[in-house]
Amino acid sequence: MTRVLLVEDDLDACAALAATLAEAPTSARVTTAGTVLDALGELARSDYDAAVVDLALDGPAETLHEALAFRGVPTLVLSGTRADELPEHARRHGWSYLAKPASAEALHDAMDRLLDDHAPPGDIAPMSTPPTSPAVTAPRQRVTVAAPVPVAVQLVDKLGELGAVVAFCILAYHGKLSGEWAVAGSLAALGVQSIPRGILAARTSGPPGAALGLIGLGLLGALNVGSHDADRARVRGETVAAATSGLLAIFALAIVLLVQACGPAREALVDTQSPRVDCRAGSHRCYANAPEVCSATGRWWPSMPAAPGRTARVCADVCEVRDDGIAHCASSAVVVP
Amino acid sequence: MRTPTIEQARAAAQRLCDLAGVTLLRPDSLLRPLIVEGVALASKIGGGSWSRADVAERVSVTLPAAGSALSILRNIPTVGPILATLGETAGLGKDVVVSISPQTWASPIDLLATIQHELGHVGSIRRGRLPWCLAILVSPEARAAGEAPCYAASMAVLVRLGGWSTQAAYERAMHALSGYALDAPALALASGILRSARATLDAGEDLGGVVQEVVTALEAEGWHR
Repeated sequence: MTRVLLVEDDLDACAALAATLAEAPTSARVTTAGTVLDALGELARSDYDAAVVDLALDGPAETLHEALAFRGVPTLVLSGTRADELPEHARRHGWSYLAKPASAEALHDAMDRLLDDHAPPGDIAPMSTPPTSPAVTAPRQRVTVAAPVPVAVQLVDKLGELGAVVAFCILAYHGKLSGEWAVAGSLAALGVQSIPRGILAARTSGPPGAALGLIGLGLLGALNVGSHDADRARVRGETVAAATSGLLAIFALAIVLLVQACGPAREALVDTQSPRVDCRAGSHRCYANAPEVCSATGRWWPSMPAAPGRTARVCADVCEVRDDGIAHCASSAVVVP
Repeated sequence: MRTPTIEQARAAAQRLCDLAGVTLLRPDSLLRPLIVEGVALASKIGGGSWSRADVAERVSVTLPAAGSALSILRNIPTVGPILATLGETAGLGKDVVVSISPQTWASPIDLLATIQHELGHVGSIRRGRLPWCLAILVSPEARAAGEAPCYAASMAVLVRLGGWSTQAAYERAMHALSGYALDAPALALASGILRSARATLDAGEDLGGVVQEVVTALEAEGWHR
Protein backbone atom coordinates (compact mmCIF):
# COMPACT_ATOMS: atom_id res chain seq x y z
CA MET A 1 0.00 0.00 0.00
CA THR A 2 1.21 3.47 -0.84
CA ARG A 3 2.38 5.47 2.15
CA VAL A 4 1.54 9.15 1.98
CA LEU A 5 2.53 11.86 4.44
CA LEU A 6 -0.15 14.55 4.58
CA VAL A 7 0.94 17.85 6.15
CA GLU A 8 -1.97 20.21 6.78
CA ASP A 9 -2.57 22.45 9.79
CA ASP A 10 -6.29 22.94 9.21
CA LEU A 11 -7.85 20.00 11.03
CA ASP A 12 -11.01 19.89 8.94
CA ALA A 13 -9.14 20.12 5.65
CA CYS A 14 -6.66 17.54 6.89
CA ALA A 15 -9.41 15.06 7.73
CA ALA A 16 -11.12 15.58 4.39
CA LEU A 17 -7.90 15.21 2.40
CA ALA A 18 -6.85 12.14 4.38
CA ALA A 19 -10.22 10.51 3.74
CA THR A 20 -9.98 11.26 0.02
CA LEU A 21 -6.45 9.92 -0.25
CA ALA A 22 -7.43 6.75 1.60
CA GLU A 23 -10.20 6.09 -0.91
CA ALA A 24 -9.77 4.31 -4.24
CA PRO A 25 -8.14 4.79 -6.61
CA THR A 26 -5.27 6.23 -4.57
CA SER A 27 -6.03 3.98 -1.58
CA ALA A 28 -3.07 5.31 0.35
CA ARG A 29 -2.08 4.64 3.92
CA VAL A 30 -2.08 8.22 5.11
CA THR A 31 -0.08 9.61 8.00
CA THR A 32 -1.08 13.12 8.98
CA ALA A 33 1.01 15.87 10.52
CA GLY A 34 -0.43 19.18 11.68
CA THR A 35 2.83 21.08 12.07
CA VAL A 36 6.18 21.34 10.35
CA LEU A 37 7.87 19.74 13.30
CA ASP A 38 5.50 16.81 13.43
CA ALA A 39 6.10 16.31 9.73
CA LEU A 40 9.86 16.39 10.19
CA GLY A 41 9.54 13.89 12.99
CA GLU A 42 7.49 11.59 10.76
CA LEU A 43 10.03 11.89 7.99
CA ALA A 44 12.80 11.01 10.41
CA ARG A 45 10.91 7.94 11.61
CA SER A 46 9.49 6.46 8.39
CA ASP A 47 9.90 6.34 4.64
CA TYR A 48 7.09 7.68 2.47
CA ASP A 49 6.20 7.08 -1.16
CA ALA A 50 4.73 10.55 -1.54
CA ALA A 51 3.82 13.66 0.41
CA VAL A 52 0.94 16.10 0.19
CA VAL A 53 1.90 19.40 1.77
CA ASP A 54 -0.09 22.54 2.39
CA LEU A 55 1.95 25.61 1.47
CA ALA A 56 0.61 27.77 4.31
CA LEU A 57 1.56 25.93 7.48
CA ASP A 58 1.97 26.99 11.10
CA GLY A 59 5.46 28.36 10.60
CA PRO A 60 8.41 28.56 8.21
CA ALA A 61 8.36 25.35 6.21
CA GLU A 62 11.66 25.67 4.33
CA THR A 63 13.24 22.97 6.48
CA LEU A 64 10.42 20.58 5.65
CA HIS A 65 10.64 21.40 1.95
CA GLU A 66 14.37 20.80 2.01
CA ALA A 67 13.93 17.52 3.86
CA LEU A 68 11.38 16.30 1.32
CA ALA A 69 13.56 17.36 -1.59
CA PHE A 70 16.65 15.82 -0.01
CA ARG A 71 14.88 12.50 0.45
CA GLY A 72 13.44 12.65 -3.05
CA VAL A 73 9.88 12.20 -1.85
CA PRO A 74 7.45 12.96 -4.71
CA THR A 75 5.40 15.84 -3.38
CA LEU A 76 2.13 17.52 -4.22
CA VAL A 77 1.94 21.00 -2.75
CA LEU A 78 -1.46 22.56 -2.09
CA SER A 79 -2.73 25.99 -1.18
CA GLY A 80 -5.91 27.96 -1.16
CA THR A 81 -4.76 31.25 0.32
CA ARG A 82 -1.36 31.42 -1.41
CA ALA A 83 -2.25 29.79 -4.70
CA ASP A 84 -0.30 32.40 -6.64
CA GLU A 85 2.90 31.24 -4.95
CA LEU A 86 2.37 27.59 -5.86
CA PRO A 87 4.10 27.60 -9.25
CA GLU A 88 7.30 29.12 -7.89
CA HIS A 89 7.47 26.74 -4.91
CA ALA A 90 6.75 23.74 -7.10
CA ARG A 91 9.26 24.82 -9.74
CA ARG A 92 11.99 25.18 -7.15
CA HIS A 93 11.79 21.51 -6.19
CA GLY A 94 10.26 20.00 -9.30
CA TRP A 95 7.05 19.18 -7.48
CA SER A 96 3.43 19.12 -8.58
CA TYR A 97 0.91 21.59 -7.25
CA LEU A 98 -2.80 21.87 -6.89
CA ALA A 99 -4.90 24.86 -5.96
CA LYS A 100 -7.50 24.41 -3.23
CA PRO A 101 -10.36 23.76 -3.15
CA ALA A 102 -9.70 20.71 -5.27
CA SER A 103 -12.19 18.05 -6.21
CA ALA A 104 -11.60 14.45 -5.17
CA GLU A 105 -11.10 13.57 -8.82
CA ALA A 106 -8.43 16.23 -9.24
CA LEU A 107 -6.63 15.05 -6.12
CA HIS A 108 -6.73 11.39 -7.19
CA ASP A 109 -5.60 12.35 -10.66
CA ALA A 110 -2.67 14.35 -9.34
CA MET A 111 -1.69 11.58 -6.92
CA ASP A 112 -1.92 8.89 -9.58
CA ARG A 113 0.40 10.81 -11.86
CA LEU A 114 2.74 11.56 -8.99
CA LEU A 115 2.93 7.94 -7.88
CA ASP A 116 2.94 6.35 -11.32
CA ASP A 117 5.90 8.31 -12.44
CA HIS A 118 8.97 8.00 -10.27
CA ALA A 119 10.99 9.68 -12.94
CA PRO A 120 11.69 13.36 -12.30
CA PRO A 121 8.35 15.12 -11.94
CA GLY A 122 9.32 17.43 -14.77
CA ASP A 123 8.64 14.52 -17.12
CA ILE A 124 5.01 14.35 -16.11
CA ALA A 125 2.70 15.43 -18.86
CA PRO A 126 0.42 18.36 -18.17
CA MET A 127 -2.85 17.25 -16.65
CA SER A 128 -6.32 17.91 -17.78
CA THR A 129 -7.92 19.22 -14.65
CA PRO A 130 -10.89 21.36 -13.73
CA PRO A 131 -10.14 25.04 -14.32
CA THR A 132 -10.81 25.90 -10.68
CA SER A 133 -8.20 23.47 -9.40
CA PRO A 134 -5.41 23.06 -11.89
CA ALA A 135 -2.92 20.33 -11.03
CA VAL A 136 0.32 21.27 -12.67
CA THR A 137 3.81 19.89 -12.58
CA ALA A 138 6.53 22.45 -12.64
CA PRO A 139 9.69 21.76 -14.60
CA ARG A 140 12.49 20.65 -12.31
CA GLN A 141 15.39 23.02 -11.96
CA ARG A 142 18.62 21.36 -12.94
CA VAL A 143 21.18 21.88 -10.23
CA THR A 144 24.84 21.30 -10.85
CA VAL A 145 26.81 20.38 -7.77
CA ALA A 146 30.56 20.69 -7.91
CA ALA A 147 32.45 17.64 -6.71
CA PRO A 148 33.91 18.28 -3.27
CA VAL A 149 37.65 18.75 -3.12
CA PRO A 150 39.22 15.93 -1.09
CA VAL A 151 40.66 16.98 2.24
CA ALA A 152 44.10 15.69 1.30
CA VAL A 153 44.10 17.91 -1.79
CA GLN A 154 43.01 20.88 0.31
CA LEU A 155 45.84 20.26 2.74
CA VAL A 156 48.41 19.94 -0.03
CA ASP A 157 47.01 23.13 -1.52
CA LYS A 158 47.77 24.91 1.73
CA LEU A 159 51.31 23.57 2.06
CA GLY A 160 52.79 26.13 -0.32
CA GLU A 161 51.38 29.02 1.65
CA LEU A 162 52.32 27.47 4.97
CA GLY A 163 55.82 26.87 3.64
CA ALA A 164 56.11 30.56 2.77
CA VAL A 165 55.05 31.57 6.25
CA VAL A 166 57.48 29.13 7.86
CA ALA A 167 60.25 30.61 5.70
CA PHE A 168 59.32 34.12 6.89
CA CYS A 169 59.34 32.81 10.43
CA ILE A 170 62.84 31.34 10.10
CA LEU A 171 64.21 34.46 8.44
CA ALA A 172 62.75 36.69 11.13
CA TYR A 173 64.00 34.47 13.93
CA HIS A 174 67.57 34.65 12.60
CA GLY A 175 67.38 38.40 12.20
CA LYS A 176 67.52 38.31 8.41
CA LEU A 177 64.15 39.99 8.14
CA SER A 178 62.50 42.59 10.36
CA GLY A 179 59.36 41.59 12.20
CA GLU A 180 57.30 44.13 10.29
CA TRP A 181 58.35 42.75 6.91
CA ALA A 182 57.80 39.23 8.12
CA VAL A 183 54.29 40.09 9.25
CA ALA A 184 53.55 41.83 5.97
CA GLY A 185 54.83 38.85 4.02
CA SER A 186 52.79 36.44 6.10
CA LEU A 187 49.69 38.53 5.65
CA ALA A 188 50.27 38.40 1.93
CA ALA A 189 50.59 34.61 2.07
CA LEU A 190 47.83 33.89 4.54
CA GLY A 191 45.64 36.92 4.97
CA VAL A 192 45.29 37.90 1.34
CA GLN A 193 44.94 34.39 -0.02
CA SER A 194 43.98 31.65 2.36
CA ILE A 195 41.79 33.30 4.92
CA PRO A 196 39.33 35.03 2.56
CA ARG A 197 39.38 32.02 0.28
CA GLY A 198 38.86 29.73 3.24
CA ILE A 199 35.94 31.81 4.44
CA LEU A 200 34.41 31.78 0.98
CA ALA A 201 34.98 28.06 0.68
CA ALA A 202 33.47 27.58 4.10
CA ARG A 203 30.10 28.39 2.56
CA THR A 204 30.27 24.80 1.41
CA SER A 205 32.91 23.21 3.59
CA GLY A 206 32.07 24.69 6.99
CA PRO A 207 34.39 25.57 9.86
CA PRO A 208 37.78 25.07 8.16
CA GLY A 209 37.63 28.69 6.99
CA ALA A 210 37.47 29.89 10.56
CA ALA A 211 40.21 27.48 11.57
CA LEU A 212 42.47 29.02 8.94
CA GLY A 213 42.09 32.27 10.81
CA LEU A 214 43.38 30.51 13.92
CA ILE A 215 46.40 29.27 12.01
CA GLY A 216 47.07 32.81 10.88
CA LEU A 217 46.93 34.06 14.45
CA GLY A 218 49.23 31.36 15.75
CA LEU A 219 51.87 31.78 13.06
CA LEU A 220 51.77 35.55 13.16
CA GLY A 221 52.30 35.30 16.90
CA ALA A 222 55.33 33.13 16.36
CA LEU A 223 56.69 35.60 13.81
CA ASN A 224 56.15 38.57 16.04
CA VAL A 225 58.06 37.08 18.92
CA GLY A 226 60.76 35.68 16.69
CA SER A 227 61.53 39.08 15.20
CA HIS A 228 62.72 40.69 18.41
CA ASP A 229 66.44 40.33 19.02
CA ALA A 230 66.83 42.69 21.95
CA ASP A 231 66.19 40.20 24.70
CA ARG A 232 67.04 36.81 23.32
CA ALA A 233 66.24 34.88 26.49
CA ARG A 234 62.83 36.46 26.83
CA VAL A 235 62.22 36.03 23.14
CA ARG A 236 63.04 32.35 23.26
CA GLY A 237 60.62 31.78 26.09
CA GLU A 238 57.87 33.64 24.28
CA THR A 239 58.73 31.93 21.03
CA VAL A 240 58.07 28.60 22.64
CA ALA A 241 54.70 29.87 23.89
CA ALA A 242 53.79 31.38 20.54
CA ALA A 243 54.90 28.33 18.63
CA THR A 244 52.76 26.26 20.96
CA SER A 245 49.81 28.51 20.11
CA GLY A 246 50.51 28.00 16.43
CA LEU A 247 50.76 24.26 16.81
CA LEU A 248 47.52 24.20 18.78
CA ALA A 249 45.84 26.18 16.02
CA ILE A 250 47.13 23.75 13.40
CA PHE A 251 45.97 20.85 15.55
CA ALA A 252 42.52 22.44 15.83
CA LEU A 253 42.42 22.90 12.05
CA ALA A 254 43.35 19.28 11.50
CA ILE A 255 40.58 18.13 13.84
CA VAL A 256 37.99 20.42 12.26
CA LEU A 257 38.97 19.34 8.74
CA LEU A 258 38.91 15.71 9.74
CA VAL A 259 35.51 15.75 11.43
CA GLN A 260 33.98 17.99 8.81
CA ALA A 261 35.06 15.86 5.91
CA CYS A 262 34.76 12.47 7.50
CA GLY A 263 31.41 11.22 8.75
CA PRO A 264 32.85 8.52 11.03
CA ALA A 265 35.22 11.05 12.60
CA ARG A 266 32.30 13.39 13.22
CA GLU A 267 30.31 10.59 14.78
CA ALA A 268 33.31 9.59 16.90
CA LEU A 269 33.52 13.16 18.16
CA VAL A 270 29.84 13.13 19.12
CA ASP A 271 30.39 9.71 20.72
CA THR A 272 32.75 11.35 23.19
CA GLN A 273 29.72 13.21 24.55
CA SER A 274 27.10 10.47 24.28
CA PRO A 275 28.03 7.06 22.85
CA ARG A 276 25.61 5.25 20.57
CA VAL A 277 23.67 2.52 22.30
CA ASP A 278 21.15 1.66 19.59
CA CYS A 279 18.09 3.03 21.33
CA ARG A 280 14.88 3.59 19.36
CA ALA A 281 14.77 7.03 17.73
CA GLY A 282 12.33 9.34 19.47
CA SER A 283 11.89 7.15 22.55
CA HIS A 284 12.22 8.55 26.08
CA ARG A 285 13.56 7.08 29.30
CA CYS A 286 14.37 8.04 32.87
CA TYR A 287 18.04 7.64 33.72
CA ALA A 288 19.64 8.69 37.02
CA ASN A 289 16.35 10.39 37.90
CA ALA A 290 16.36 12.62 34.83
CA PRO A 291 14.49 12.33 31.51
CA GLU A 292 16.43 11.50 28.36
CA VAL A 293 15.51 11.33 24.67
CA CYS A 294 16.95 9.00 22.01
CA SER A 295 18.22 10.57 18.78
CA ALA A 296 17.94 9.19 15.26
CA THR A 297 21.51 7.92 15.52
CA GLY A 298 20.76 5.94 18.69
CA ARG A 299 22.19 8.19 21.38
CA TRP A 300 20.56 9.19 24.65
CA TRP A 301 20.57 12.93 25.34
CA PRO A 302 19.38 14.59 28.57
CA SER A 303 16.37 16.86 28.31
CA MET A 304 17.35 18.80 31.43
CA PRO A 305 19.75 21.73 30.99
CA ALA A 306 23.20 21.32 32.52
CA ALA A 307 23.90 23.19 35.73
CA PRO A 308 26.75 25.70 35.38
CA GLY A 309 28.85 23.88 37.96
CA ARG A 310 29.45 20.75 35.83
CA THR A 311 26.78 18.78 37.66
CA ALA A 312 23.76 17.31 35.92
CA ARG A 313 20.33 18.55 36.92
CA VAL A 314 17.92 15.88 38.11
CA CYS A 315 14.25 15.80 39.02
CA ALA A 316 13.51 17.16 42.47
CA ASP A 317 11.23 14.21 43.17
CA VAL A 318 10.89 11.43 40.59
CA CYS A 319 11.24 10.94 36.86
CA GLU A 320 8.55 8.94 35.15
CA VAL A 321 7.50 7.98 31.62
CA ARG A 322 3.91 8.88 30.71
CA ASP A 323 1.56 6.58 28.85
CA ASP A 324 2.29 8.48 25.63
CA GLY A 325 6.00 7.71 26.05
CA ILE A 326 7.13 11.16 27.22
CA ALA A 327 9.62 11.12 30.12
CA HIS A 328 9.34 13.99 32.59
CA CYS A 329 9.78 15.05 36.19
CA ALA A 330 6.78 14.39 38.41
CA SER A 331 5.73 14.42 42.01
CA SER A 332 5.56 11.15 43.87
CA ALA A 333 3.09 12.59 46.38
CA VAL A 334 -0.20 10.72 46.36
CA VAL A 335 -3.14 13.08 46.20
CA VAL A 336 -5.82 11.98 48.65
CA PRO A 337 -9.26 12.96 47.43
CA MET B 1 2.79 36.79 40.73
CA ARG B 2 4.47 40.20 40.48
CA THR B 3 6.76 40.82 37.56
CA PRO B 4 10.22 41.87 38.72
CA THR B 5 11.43 45.31 37.74
CA ILE B 6 14.13 45.55 35.11
CA GLU B 7 16.60 46.67 37.78
CA GLN B 8 15.80 43.65 39.94
CA ALA B 9 16.11 41.35 36.93
CA ARG B 10 19.46 42.81 35.91
CA ALA B 11 20.82 42.53 39.44
CA ALA B 12 19.54 38.96 39.68
CA ALA B 13 21.14 38.12 36.34
CA GLN B 14 24.45 39.50 37.55
CA ARG B 15 24.10 37.51 40.77
CA LEU B 16 23.43 34.28 38.88
CA CYS B 17 26.47 34.87 36.66
CA ASP B 18 28.67 35.69 39.65
CA LEU B 19 27.61 32.48 41.35
CA ALA B 20 28.44 30.54 38.20
CA GLY B 21 31.83 32.25 37.80
CA VAL B 22 30.81 33.73 34.46
CA THR B 23 31.44 37.21 33.03
CA LEU B 24 28.21 38.98 32.06
CA LEU B 25 28.70 41.40 29.17
CA ARG B 26 26.00 44.06 28.86
CA PRO B 27 24.80 45.22 25.45
CA ASP B 28 26.71 48.50 25.78
CA SER B 29 29.99 46.66 26.21
CA LEU B 30 32.71 47.80 23.83
CA LEU B 31 33.22 44.17 22.88
CA ARG B 32 29.61 43.59 21.82
CA PRO B 33 30.14 44.81 18.19
CA LEU B 34 33.11 42.45 17.86
CA ILE B 35 31.04 39.56 19.20
CA VAL B 36 28.17 40.44 16.87
CA GLU B 37 30.47 40.32 13.85
CA GLY B 38 31.90 37.00 14.95
CA VAL B 39 28.53 35.39 15.60
CA ALA B 40 27.08 36.72 12.32
CA LEU B 41 30.06 35.31 10.43
CA ALA B 42 29.82 31.97 12.25
CA SER B 43 26.10 31.79 11.45
CA LYS B 44 26.78 32.54 7.80
CA ILE B 45 29.51 29.92 7.58
CA GLY B 46 27.48 27.34 9.45
CA GLY B 47 24.42 27.78 7.25
CA GLY B 48 22.31 29.48 9.92
CA SER B 49 19.63 32.04 9.08
CA TRP B 50 20.70 34.97 11.28
CA SER B 51 21.48 38.27 9.60
CA ARG B 52 23.91 40.68 11.19
CA ALA B 53 21.00 42.92 12.26
CA ASP B 54 19.29 39.94 13.90
CA VAL B 55 22.43 39.09 15.82
CA ALA B 56 23.03 42.68 16.91
CA GLU B 57 19.52 43.18 18.24
CA ARG B 58 18.34 39.79 19.41
CA VAL B 59 21.11 37.24 19.85
CA SER B 60 22.68 36.58 23.23
CA VAL B 61 25.65 34.26 23.20
CA THR B 62 27.97 32.24 25.41
CA LEU B 63 31.65 32.38 24.45
CA PRO B 64 33.91 29.61 25.72
CA ALA B 65 37.62 29.92 26.45
CA ALA B 66 37.74 33.72 26.29
CA GLY B 67 40.82 33.71 28.52
CA SER B 68 42.69 31.33 26.23
CA ALA B 69 41.69 33.38 23.18
CA LEU B 70 43.15 36.49 24.82
CA SER B 71 46.47 34.69 25.33
CA ILE B 72 46.64 33.95 21.61
CA LEU B 73 45.44 37.45 20.72
CA ARG B 74 48.30 38.92 22.74
CA ASN B 75 50.78 37.41 20.29
CA ILE B 76 49.51 39.46 17.34
CA PRO B 77 51.93 42.30 16.53
CA THR B 78 51.17 45.78 17.86
CA VAL B 79 47.38 45.64 18.24
CA GLY B 80 47.28 42.22 19.91
CA PRO B 81 48.51 43.25 23.36
CA ILE B 82 46.24 46.33 23.30
CA LEU B 83 43.15 44.29 22.44
CA ALA B 84 44.09 41.62 24.97
CA THR B 85 44.47 44.21 27.73
CA LEU B 86 41.12 45.74 26.78
CA GLY B 87 39.56 42.29 26.89
CA GLU B 88 40.97 41.56 30.32
CA THR B 89 39.80 44.95 31.56
CA ALA B 90 36.34 44.05 30.31
CA GLY B 91 36.44 40.86 32.37
CA LEU B 92 37.15 38.40 29.60
CA GLY B 93 39.84 36.68 31.61
CA LYS B 94 37.30 34.17 32.97
CA ASP B 95 36.77 30.91 31.18
CA VAL B 96 33.28 31.70 29.89
CA VAL B 97 31.59 34.97 28.88
CA VAL B 98 27.88 35.60 28.35
CA SER B 99 26.97 38.52 26.06
CA ILE B 100 23.38 39.76 26.29
CA SER B 101 21.48 41.36 23.40
CA PRO B 102 19.85 44.83 23.72
CA GLN B 103 16.36 43.38 23.25
CA THR B 104 16.85 40.88 26.05
CA TRP B 105 18.48 43.43 28.35
CA ALA B 106 15.31 45.56 28.21
CA SER B 107 12.87 42.87 29.31
CA PRO B 108 12.97 41.45 32.86
CA ILE B 109 11.50 38.03 32.10
CA ASP B 110 13.35 37.61 28.82
CA LEU B 111 16.59 38.54 30.55
CA LEU B 112 16.14 35.96 33.30
CA ALA B 113 15.03 33.31 30.81
CA THR B 114 18.06 34.04 28.65
CA ILE B 115 20.48 33.95 31.55
CA GLN B 116 19.30 30.47 32.53
CA HIS B 117 19.54 29.45 28.87
CA GLU B 118 23.13 30.66 28.60
CA LEU B 119 24.12 29.17 31.95
CA GLY B 120 22.91 25.85 30.56
CA HIS B 121 25.52 26.26 27.82
CA VAL B 122 28.12 27.13 30.43
CA GLY B 123 27.47 23.81 32.19
CA SER B 124 27.68 21.89 28.91
CA ILE B 125 30.93 23.59 27.93
CA ARG B 126 32.52 22.93 31.31
CA ARG B 127 31.51 19.30 31.24
CA GLY B 128 32.25 18.53 27.60
CA ARG B 129 35.20 20.91 27.12
CA LEU B 130 36.78 21.26 23.66
CA PRO B 131 35.22 18.11 22.15
CA TRP B 132 31.77 19.43 23.01
CA CYS B 133 32.47 22.82 21.40
CA LEU B 134 33.75 21.10 18.25
CA ALA B 135 30.82 18.68 18.21
CA ILE B 136 28.34 21.55 18.34
CA LEU B 137 30.11 23.16 15.38
CA VAL B 138 30.08 20.13 13.12
CA SER B 139 27.09 18.01 14.19
CA PRO B 140 23.44 19.09 13.92
CA GLU B 141 22.57 16.35 16.41
CA ALA B 142 24.97 17.74 19.02
CA ARG B 143 23.67 21.23 18.29
CA ALA B 144 20.11 20.10 18.91
CA ALA B 145 21.13 18.20 22.05
CA GLY B 146 22.98 21.28 23.29
CA GLU B 147 20.45 23.95 22.44
CA ALA B 148 17.13 22.25 23.21
CA PRO B 149 17.72 21.74 26.97
CA CYS B 150 18.84 25.36 27.21
CA TYR B 151 15.64 26.48 25.51
CA ALA B 152 13.84 24.24 27.99
CA ALA B 153 15.43 26.29 30.78
CA SER B 154 14.07 29.45 29.14
CA MET B 155 10.66 27.80 28.85
CA ALA B 156 10.62 27.11 32.58
CA VAL B 157 11.30 30.76 33.45
CA LEU B 158 8.78 32.08 30.90
CA VAL B 159 6.08 29.75 32.21
CA ARG B 160 6.65 30.08 35.95
CA LEU B 161 7.62 33.76 36.15
CA GLY B 162 6.24 35.21 32.92
CA GLY B 163 2.84 33.58 32.95
CA TRP B 164 3.29 31.96 29.53
CA SER B 165 1.39 28.80 28.68
CA THR B 166 3.62 25.77 28.27
CA GLN B 167 2.41 25.39 24.67
CA ALA B 168 3.29 28.99 23.78
CA ALA B 169 6.71 28.65 25.37
CA TYR B 170 7.27 25.36 23.52
CA GLU B 171 6.33 26.93 20.18
CA ARG B 172 8.60 29.90 20.78
CA ALA B 173 11.48 27.57 21.56
CA MET B 174 10.88 25.46 18.45
CA HIS B 175 10.68 28.57 16.33
CA ALA B 176 13.98 29.80 17.74
CA LEU B 177 15.61 26.44 17.03
CA SER B 178 14.84 26.83 13.33
CA GLY B 179 17.74 29.30 13.19
CA TYR B 180 20.38 26.71 14.08
CA ALA B 181 20.68 24.91 10.74
CA LEU B 182 19.28 21.67 12.17
CA ASP B 183 18.38 18.83 9.81
CA ALA B 184 15.18 16.81 10.16
CA PRO B 185 16.50 14.19 12.64
CA ALA B 186 18.08 16.91 14.77
CA LEU B 187 14.83 18.89 14.83
CA ALA B 188 12.97 15.74 15.83
CA LEU B 189 15.43 15.28 18.72
CA ALA B 190 15.00 18.90 19.79
CA SER B 191 11.25 18.50 19.64
CA GLY B 192 11.43 15.41 21.85
CA ILE B 193 13.58 17.18 24.42
CA LEU B 194 11.24 20.17 24.55
CA ARG B 195 8.17 17.93 24.80
CA SER B 196 9.77 16.31 27.83
CA ALA B 197 10.38 19.73 29.38
CA ARG B 198 6.82 20.78 28.58
CA ALA B 199 5.50 17.65 30.30
CA THR B 200 7.61 18.46 33.37
CA LEU B 201 6.20 21.98 33.52
CA ASP B 202 2.67 20.73 32.88
CA ALA B 203 3.14 18.45 35.89
CA GLY B 204 3.87 21.52 38.02
CA GLU B 205 7.53 20.63 38.50
CA ASP B 206 10.65 22.76 38.23
CA LEU B 207 13.30 21.83 35.69
CA GLY B 208 15.91 20.62 38.13
CA GLY B 209 15.99 23.91 40.04
CA VAL B 210 16.13 26.35 37.11
CA VAL B 211 13.19 28.43 38.35
CA GLN B 212 14.13 28.18 42.04
CA GLU B 213 17.58 29.60 41.33
CA VAL B 214 16.03 32.63 39.61
CA VAL B 215 13.53 33.14 42.40
CA THR B 216 16.28 33.00 45.02
CA ALA B 217 18.37 35.54 43.10
CA LEU B 218 15.37 37.85 42.69
CA GLU B 219 14.42 37.62 46.34
CA ALA B 220 17.96 38.61 47.26
CA GLU B 221 17.30 41.79 45.26
CA GLY B 222 14.13 42.60 47.19
CA TRP B 223 11.56 40.98 44.92
CA HIS B 224 8.57 39.23 46.47
CA ARG B 225 6.13 36.98 44.68
